[in-house]
Amino acid sequence: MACERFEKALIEEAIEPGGNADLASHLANCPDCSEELALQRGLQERITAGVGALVAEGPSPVLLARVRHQIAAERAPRGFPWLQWAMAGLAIAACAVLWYAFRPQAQVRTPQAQVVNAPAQIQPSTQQVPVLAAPAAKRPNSVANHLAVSRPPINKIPAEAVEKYIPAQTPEVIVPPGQREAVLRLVNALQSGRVDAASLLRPAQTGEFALLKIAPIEVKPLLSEESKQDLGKQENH
Amino acid sequence: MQALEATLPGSRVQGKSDTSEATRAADVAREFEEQLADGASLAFRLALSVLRNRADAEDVAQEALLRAYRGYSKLRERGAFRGWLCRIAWRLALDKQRGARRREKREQAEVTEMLDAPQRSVEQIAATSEFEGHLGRAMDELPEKLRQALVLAAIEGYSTREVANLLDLPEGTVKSRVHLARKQLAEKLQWLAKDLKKR
Repeated sequence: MACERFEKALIEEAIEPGGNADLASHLANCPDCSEELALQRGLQERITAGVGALVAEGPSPVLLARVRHQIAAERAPRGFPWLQWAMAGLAIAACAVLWYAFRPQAQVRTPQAQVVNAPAQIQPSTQQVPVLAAPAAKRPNSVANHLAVSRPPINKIPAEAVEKYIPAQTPEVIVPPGQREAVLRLVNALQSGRVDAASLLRPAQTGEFALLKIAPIEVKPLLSEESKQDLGKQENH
Repeated sequence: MQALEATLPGSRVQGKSDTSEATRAADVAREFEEQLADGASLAFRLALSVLRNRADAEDVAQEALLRAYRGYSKLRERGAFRGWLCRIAWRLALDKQRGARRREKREQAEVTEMLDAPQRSVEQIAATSEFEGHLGRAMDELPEKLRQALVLAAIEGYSTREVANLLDLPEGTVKSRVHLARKQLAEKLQWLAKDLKKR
C-alpha cells in the first residue's frame, strides 16, 4: 500500500520520471511506494501499447482506390448548374402549357374545338356499328332494327341537316349466341326507363343464356356550331 | 493521378481562353493527389482510434477525404491540409461512434477478429481484449482535446512538433495535453493496476 500523500505523485512519476525530488528521496526508504511505482509504470506501458495498437494499423490499399474512384465519379459535368436548372424549368413550363391546351375539358368547352370536332364525332357512326361481341364470321342472330337503341328526337332540325351529319342507317346490334335473352331484357329495361342491373345479370333458368358482357352503346350525334347556325337560318326562312 | 487531374471542383476546362485556369486547376489536383496517400493513412488511423473497427474507420476516412477533396480548392494554406483533414476525420468518426448499432457490430467484429488470431493463447487474447476494452471506454470518456492529442502522439512517426502543427497548437500545450490524458487514463484504470498486482 503506497503512502497516501504520494499516490498522485507516483502516477506523475510513472508518466514522466524524474520530475519530483521529494518522491525520489521517499522512494529510497519506502518499499511499498517503490512497488506501487512499478505497478504504475506497468500500467502506463500497457496504456502506451494499447493506444499505439489502436492506431498501428494502416488503411488497406482498397481505401485509396475507393477514394480515387469516387473522385473520378464526381467529375460529371457540372459546369453550368444554372443552365440545367433553367432547362428543367423550361421543360416543366412546356409540359404545363401542353397540358392546359390539350386537357379534355378544353376540347368540349371551346367553341372552336367543337366546330372542328363535331364532324369527326359524327363521321365514325356511319361506319362503326355497335357490336356486342362475336367475330364477323359467326353472327348467328342479327337482330338489327329490333334492338336498336332508341334515339331521342331532335327538335327543330330539318331533315337535310340530319342527313348531313347523322347516318341513315340505324345502328345495328349483333348479338352473340346465347345472349339474345339478355339483350332483350336490356332493351326492355331501357324502354321502360327502369334499369334493374340484377334482372339483367340474373338468368331465368340455369344455362338459358349467358350473361351480357358488353354494355349497349347509345349513339348521340353532336351538332357543330356551324350546323346549328344553318338550322337557324333555315327556320327563319 | 491522371484521373484526378482536371477533376477537382473548380478545375473545369472551358476552352482555350481558360488555359491558365485549367493549368492552375491541374496543379491543385496534383497537389491533392500528392497528399492523398499520407492523408488517407492519417484519417484512417484517427478514425480507427475512435471507432476501433477497420471497416467503419475506412468508411470515415473515405468520406473525410472526399470532403477534403471538394473543399481543397478553397483551402488557402495548403500546409494546413493535414490538420484540416484531421478535424474532418475526427468529427466524422465521433458522429459515427454515436450510432448504437455500429457499436454492437463493432463489438461482434472484435470478437471475430480475436478468435481469428491463432498466434495468441486464449488467456492472452482474453487479457488483451479485456484491457483494450477498458482502455477504449476510458478513452471515450476523455475530453476531446486530450483524446485527440493522445491519439495523434501515439501514431508512429509523429513527433510532438508534428502533432502541434497538425492541431495548430504550441508544443508545450500538446505535451501538457498528452500528459494530462495519460494521467486521467491511469486514474480511471487504477483498479486494473491493482488487479495486475493480485496476479
